[in-house]
Amino acid sequence: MNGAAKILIVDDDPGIRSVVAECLQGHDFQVLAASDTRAMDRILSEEAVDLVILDVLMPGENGLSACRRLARTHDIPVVMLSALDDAFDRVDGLESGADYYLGKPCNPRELLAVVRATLRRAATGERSRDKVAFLGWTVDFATRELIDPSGVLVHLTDGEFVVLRAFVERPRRVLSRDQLLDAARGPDTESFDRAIDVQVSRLRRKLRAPDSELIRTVRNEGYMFMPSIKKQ
Amino acid sequence: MLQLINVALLLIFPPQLDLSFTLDELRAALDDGIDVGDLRVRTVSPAEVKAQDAQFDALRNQLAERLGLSPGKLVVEFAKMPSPQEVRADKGIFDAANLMPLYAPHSGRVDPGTFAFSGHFKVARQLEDGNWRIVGPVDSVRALWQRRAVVWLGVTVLLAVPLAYLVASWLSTPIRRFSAAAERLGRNLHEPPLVLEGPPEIVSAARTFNEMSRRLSQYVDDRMAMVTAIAHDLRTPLTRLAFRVEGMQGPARAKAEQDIDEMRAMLSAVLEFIRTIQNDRPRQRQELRSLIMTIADEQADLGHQIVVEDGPDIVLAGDRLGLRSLFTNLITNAVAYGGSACVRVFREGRQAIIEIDDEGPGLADDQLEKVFDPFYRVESSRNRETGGIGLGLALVRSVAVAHGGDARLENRLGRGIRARVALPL
Repeated sequence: MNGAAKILIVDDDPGIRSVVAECLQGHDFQVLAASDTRAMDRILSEEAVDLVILDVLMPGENGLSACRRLARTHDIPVVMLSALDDAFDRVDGLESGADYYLGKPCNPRELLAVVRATLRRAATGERSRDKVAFLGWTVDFATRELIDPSGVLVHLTDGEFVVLRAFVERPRRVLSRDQLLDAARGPDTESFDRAIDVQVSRLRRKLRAPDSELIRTVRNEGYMFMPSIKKQ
Repeated sequence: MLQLINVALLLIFPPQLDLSFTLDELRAALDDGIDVGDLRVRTVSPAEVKAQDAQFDALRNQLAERLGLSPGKLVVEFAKMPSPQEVRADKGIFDAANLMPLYAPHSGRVDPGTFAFSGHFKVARQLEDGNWRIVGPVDSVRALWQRRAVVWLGVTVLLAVPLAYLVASWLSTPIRRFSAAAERLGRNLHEPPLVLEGPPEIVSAARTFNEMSRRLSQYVDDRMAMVTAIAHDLRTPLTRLAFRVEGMQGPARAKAEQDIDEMRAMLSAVLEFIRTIQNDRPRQRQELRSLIMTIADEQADLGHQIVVEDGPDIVLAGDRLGLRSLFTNLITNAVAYGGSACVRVFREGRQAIIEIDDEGPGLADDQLEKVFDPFYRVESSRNRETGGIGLGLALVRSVAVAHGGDARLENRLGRGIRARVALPL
């Protein structure tokens, strides 16, 4: 699939366009480049693009607004690649509908990992901007927000988010530890290296259901997420 | 102030040295033998009553006629008219002019209901049993005046204490606001301006203060904007460099990548600092313990020693990314310089308190406050491998202050540092 994947780079800096294109082409991606969002629109109307790498600060329309527009009109995964790189910008980017937010400077390995993971998710229909609800809780995976039934934000680690995501994507089914570990593999799970059991017990504590009300332990098999899920 | 109120009282209630009484009041007191208003009645034996002073005969006769009594059974007495040489302190002063209407031949036309007696007088009437009933104004005028004075004084004090308090606080509130504003300005340049109210001098000083604070924050904002622009602009070439290094071969490549990572970390620190202290993110109700646990677990996963003591959940409204940066900085400092971290989260009054203890060597007392200055680094952390660029604690303080709280470091008794953050609930 990598060989066929067509990636559009939108960045006003020619140097970035050329080094990123070179790097992606070196790994068998097809690469198109646009210097602003108008050029991006033109290309999108002519070509079937699998993924857009979008800069934020550009002359004319900025990347965030273009990203919101893409989310409405196209079903193309977007990776933001921006010099605006702190937690705040990330949230802004993800709220605009980006699948992944990568700060500049990034190195080629990171970019490749993100591009591959995003393409894989898109292929399996798992987009990261899902928002789901269960038992009064709501969770937004894009902005990493878990809100309890009284409207209070509860903080989770990246690892806990990954586990929670795996659970809410497959509720009321037994998930083995291996399945949970598999789900956890991805570019955004660097810190996810503790045993699954630990993550699950932490998650139970944060969901204020320390026993098996929410997440039931199935002996010798794994875990099962009990509540039913409402997509939002 | 007290003087002011006294003067006001004098103006509002002029001293009534000359109590006056109507004929009807006098009649009632003489007939019934009971006190009427400020008229006092007593009964004495005939021996104690002086004969009628001839000077007031006419007055006595007229009064007897009006009261329907025999003149022989009535005695009218006045305190001696004071001459300038002999003002008798014990008798007080009365105004003889008030008596004149009674003397006057046409007084028959005076309406007894409004006719007034005043001054220090006594009217005695002989009763059936031969004793005399004497009616006169209460005690002496002087005693009356003293009584009133005491009452005034009491009222004055009662009024003056709360009034003085109000005025004092009215005067000192702007000054206290000033000092509080100056204190806050030292911590947070983006404090809202002082309210312009109070005495004119204070208003004008407040205006000057606001202008100064505006210029100060403008100055800082400009510099921040410049630093932000530089940091941003450096990122694009740095990204290109990172991609170009990819094509290099040999040991130089690993070193170049290390340098790029370091530059990137510095730029991120600067930009995160600037962005966090701008604090324009919306406040969100959130549970603090889950935040601390999240950061602690992430540190524990990296192999650091960290304990979070059990306690209640604490919900407060805050900027989640700012708070996350705040506690991440304190906890990573504790594990980086102190070797371990022990965290307590609890409620104290209307504040959430977060204490982070480490087991490190601590800091010299004169460093405990300095380390909060931006870009300040203690000598031992100059090595950037552990040191960062000196923005961590500046960020901590500015986030805490922006939430209406504070952050401090103190040396613990035995060993190590305690970082204490207080956030209002």
